[in-house]
Parts: sequence; C-alpha cells; structure tokens
Amino acid sequence: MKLWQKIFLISLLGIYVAVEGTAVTVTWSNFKSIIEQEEEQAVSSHNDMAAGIVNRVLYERLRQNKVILSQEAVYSVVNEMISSRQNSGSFTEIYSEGEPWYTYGPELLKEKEAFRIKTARSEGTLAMITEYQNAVYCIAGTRITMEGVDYEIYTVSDVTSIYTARKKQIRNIGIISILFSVGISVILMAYVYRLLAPLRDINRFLNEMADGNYGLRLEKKGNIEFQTLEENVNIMAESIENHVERVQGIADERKQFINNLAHEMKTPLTSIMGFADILRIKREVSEKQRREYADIIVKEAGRLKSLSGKILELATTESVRLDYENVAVKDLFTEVYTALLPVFKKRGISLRVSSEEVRVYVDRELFKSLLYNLLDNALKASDSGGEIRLQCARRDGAVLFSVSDDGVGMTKEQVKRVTEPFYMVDKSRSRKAGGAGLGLALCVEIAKRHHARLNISSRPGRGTTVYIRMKEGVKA
Amino acid sequence: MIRILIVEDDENIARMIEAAISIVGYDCEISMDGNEAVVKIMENHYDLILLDVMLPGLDGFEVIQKIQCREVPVIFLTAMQNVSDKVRGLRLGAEDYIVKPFEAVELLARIEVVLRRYHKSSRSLKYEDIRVDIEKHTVTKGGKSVALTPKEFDVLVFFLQNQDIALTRERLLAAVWGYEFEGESRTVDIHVQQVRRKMGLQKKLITIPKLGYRLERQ
Repeated sequence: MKLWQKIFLISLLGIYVAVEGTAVTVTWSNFKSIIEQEEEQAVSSHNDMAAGIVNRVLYERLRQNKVILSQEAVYSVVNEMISSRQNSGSFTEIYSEGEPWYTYGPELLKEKEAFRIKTARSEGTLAMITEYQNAVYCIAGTRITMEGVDYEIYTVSDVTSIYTARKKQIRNIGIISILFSVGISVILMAYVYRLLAPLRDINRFLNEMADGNYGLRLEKKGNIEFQTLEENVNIMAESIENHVERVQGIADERKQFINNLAHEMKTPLTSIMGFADILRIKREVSEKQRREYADIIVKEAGRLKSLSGKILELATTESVRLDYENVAVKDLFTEVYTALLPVFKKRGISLRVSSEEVRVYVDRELFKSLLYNLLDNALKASDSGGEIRLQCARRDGAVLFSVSDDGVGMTKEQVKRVTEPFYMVDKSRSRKAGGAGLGLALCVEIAKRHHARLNISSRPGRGTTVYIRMKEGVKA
Repeated sequence: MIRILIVEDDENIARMIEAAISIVGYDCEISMDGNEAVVKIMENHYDLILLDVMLPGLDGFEVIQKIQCREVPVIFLTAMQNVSDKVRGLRLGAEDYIVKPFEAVELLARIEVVLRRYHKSSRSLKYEDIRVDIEKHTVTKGGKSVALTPKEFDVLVFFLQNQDIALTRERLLAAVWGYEFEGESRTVDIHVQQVRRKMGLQKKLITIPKLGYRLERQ
C-alpha cells in the first residue's frame, strides 16, 4: 500500500473513532441525566399523587363521618380523582394484595411481578424503566395503606420519546463523524501527496540514472529533509558518474591495448606465415632465397619473442610483490654502468654517470630495469659519437633522477603519446632496433609501483631528458 | 606484363608479398609510405595496388580516396579484423580485403580474381596442347573439346593459373568451392583425379604427399 493511502486510511479511522467516541460518550451522559431527571420527576409527581389520594380518602371519611370507609367507597373516591388524569402518556394503576384493584390501559404491570413484590415490601418509592411493546416506560410505585387495607400504587409514564430522540442523535452523530473524518482525511492526503512531490522527483531521477543517464542532477526543492536528500543524491550521482567514466576509461585503454597488441603480433606473424608458405609451396627455391626467407622468419619470430617477453614483464610488474630495500644510488649506477658499457662502446656512444650520496627505497632489480629501459631509449635516439647522461640529485626534498640524450628528440604531440603502449615515434627505426613500443609504458608502470613520477621534456633535434622524481630513502 | 604496387610499411611483409607475387611472374614495386605511394600511382601505371591500412604519412583510407581518379583496383591488407573497417574499405572502392596474417596462395588467388574482374589476366589459358577459354567455359585438348563439369573446369583453371605452386586441398576447396568445409578433402581428390584423367595430366599434375597437388610448368 502506498504511503498516502495508508495515511488516508489511518486518519480516516482515527478521526472517525475519536469523533464518534466523543459524541457517543457525551450523548450517553447527557441522556443518562435526562433519564434520571425524568425518573425523579416521575417519582415526585407520583408521591404527590399518592399523598393526594391518601388525603382525599381520609377527607372523605371525615366528611361522611364514618369510622371506616368501605373498599367500594375508597374505589369510587380514587376513581373520581384519577380517571380524569388518565391518558396514554401517563397513567396510574393500583394493586391490592397482589391483584389489580384499579387498572387502566396496557397490561404492563401484570408482567412486572418482581417489581410489584419489591414495592409491596419496601417503605419508600421505587422506580424502574422498562420496555414494553416497542415503547419505553418509567414506572414509579409505593405502598400505601388506606382504611386498613394495603395497596400498591403505580404511576406509569411513557418516556419513549426520549429514547427515540437519543437514537436519532446517535445516527446523526455517526453521519457527521463519517463526513468529518472523510473530509479531514482527504485534506490530509492531498497535503501529504503535495509534500511527497520531491520524493517522486527523486524516484524518477533514480530511474533515469538506472538507465545510464549519469549526467543528470536534481533540482533542490521541498522541505529541508528533502533538500538534504536531494543534495546527497546529487553527490552520489556525481561520484557514480566519475566512477563510470574512470571505469570506461580503463576499459577503453584495455581495448586499445588489445587492438595494438593484436596488430603488433600480426605483423611479424604475417611475414613468418607468408615466407613459410612460400618455402612450402614453391617448387624450386634458390639457396640465396632460402637463406633470405629463413633469416626473415627467424628475425620476425625473435620479434614475437621479445614482444611476448615485454608483455609478460608488463603484466608481472603490475601484479608481482616487490622486494623493497634501501639502496645507495651510487651502487645502483655502478651496476647499471658496468652492465651497459659494452653496448654503449659498440654503438660508439659515451655514458656519463654522476650521483650525490643519496639512498632510495626501491626494488633493486625492477628499478634497474627502469633505468635500463630509459637508457635503451636514449641509445635508440642517439647517433654514434653522442653522449648520454645518467644523473641523480636531491631537489626540493625529493630525489631527482634524469636520463638525457642529445638525440633526435620529439615534438610535444609525440611526448604526450610516447608512454602509450605500442606507440613508436619512428616505427621503422624502432623496429630495426627490435623495439615493441612497450618500453616507456613499462617504465611508467615501474615508477607507479615506486610512487615515483615520470616526466619527459624533449625538443626535436635537440634531445630528450626523462626525469624520475621520488621520495628519499632512509639512511642505512 | 602485370605491374603491382605494394604499399606496406613493414619491410619484411613487403618482401614476402613481393616473393609470393614473383612466383606467378608479376612485376612489382614497393612503397613504404602513404604520400610516396600516391605520387607513384599518379605518375605510373599499375594494374593493381596492395594497400596496407596503417601507414606512416597518409593511411590506407586516405590513399584510396586520393587515387580514385586513376581507377586502379585496390586490395586492402590489414591486421584489423573488425567489420566496420572492412565495410569502410569496401565502400571507398576497394576490390577486396585481406586480413593479416595470410597464406601466400590465398593472396595470389585474390589477386587473380581481381585481375580477372578487370580483364587484365588473359581470358584464355594454354598448357601444352590444352586450351581453356574462361569466358566461354570451353576446354580443348589437341583440338578436341573435352567435357568437364563446372567444378572440374574451375579446378583445372586454378591449377593452370598457379603452375608450379603446391596447392593444398584446403586452398583448392576455398578457391573452387568458395568456402572452407573441413573434412571434405575427399571431394577435392575426386575432382583432381577426374581432371587428371580427362586431360591426360597423369605425369604433370602430381600429388605431393601430406600437402596437396602441383601442376608442373611445361
């Protein structure tokens, strides 16, 4: 059930019970006092009449100057006195020794034997209210003694009209309370419905968002509670939008990576497959051709091998647990220098290494691999006779490594893209040197694992410098 | 003489294509850059262009748009496998689309189809005393006509077009039946035997164990 429906039903019921309850209680107590009053009145007028009868009988005896009046004489006195007052609204009956002595109209009292016995035994006046043939009567009764005989005298008055009035009143109250509760409930419901308008907006908004519209924002309106909710929903939408964008970015990057990888794998595969097929299907292959074809197949297979090696390296760098230690940069540089010197000599390029006394907290092998890759790039960019510098110094509370060459350099556009996997500034030059376009992507990954930042500054024809900025390690 | 321009920036792939094409005796030239290729096509006459999509300078799609006026048939070579690239290439007027890596014979077969479509390869083929008219679908041996079923005719033509090349059963299936159904190389064997018997090629159309068949050059 919806909230407004619940509110409607509960308020309807509540108001109905309250109005009806109050009204019924008030009418009831009101009715009771009316009844009591009626009873009292009936009793007092009954007493007056009873006293009147007794006096009249006494007066008659004195007038007739008798010692005692006969029952017949009493009857005629009583009859003379009462008969004129008998009507359907109120009438008097007299019983003597349990038998009706003077009766009128409905035989109501015949059935009320218990009341009559009680009256005969009691000293004062008794009253009761009873129903008889769809009418309600108030009976008042007293025992009197006239001329030595005991009588019970009763006054019966019809009080049906009071009851009818009450019934009518209760019915009216019922109708009024229903009207009231319906009216108030409708007003309340309309008000609640209007109050909940922002909630419906939020709902619609969330549905839109579920459909993928992350760019939408809620307008702030409604009560303060709703405004807080709307604000929070907006904050949530913002964060979802950011997350989705980031995830989308990662997915796009991955897709691009896979596309490039496929391309880079298919290129050597095409040569390998083509030449192998030619060797297979050609009837006569000269010795020179055979050697040439086989040579290309081997070289291209080597390319595939180095590509798969780099891919594996990239994958493990992302996931492998690193073995961090505090390393003196000088030691690190000595190792790198010794390892690379033969390559540099062969290419006719000099390598200059210099470092301050400083330590870094790194995975030794992985960090060396980072330096090798950068130096390898510098080597590829340089011509014979050039110089490459590997330096390390403290700068602004951090350690700054730099690898610089005076080689071909790059344009701004190329610098921006050079860390993308498989991007090669000069494809044919890079391929001849056996590159797969993954070196710098790997460097960025290694730097990331060391919380270091990689920056490249380069000018075409003037050379390139790559900087690595990282925190200084603790002294050993 | 048929002249083919290979536009491919990977040197080894270009050399491979050149080696494959030279088997069937076509003349070819290599260009490794989009801009250079456009200049060459504008200045020289070629019967067919083999165009790589990813090129330095202009890419393959740009090249084909620039050379539209020359009306040279183009076959795209690409490592990309997605359909949208293929559709784009064909819409720009390419004749065919070959995905790397590919077999040498497949390349040759596709080249043959395009050249034939442009009526650049001969419509009649000769082999010893066999004469085949591709247009009229007729075969004669020593002046007498030989009755071949359509598939046998296609098999014979494919052998004549690829003389001295070992043809695998799969390649024959793809070329003649137009699709590659596996496990049905028996069909190929039966047709080759029929052609061999009807054309009297028992000595020339030889079986190469584990590989396929080869029609030796006369």
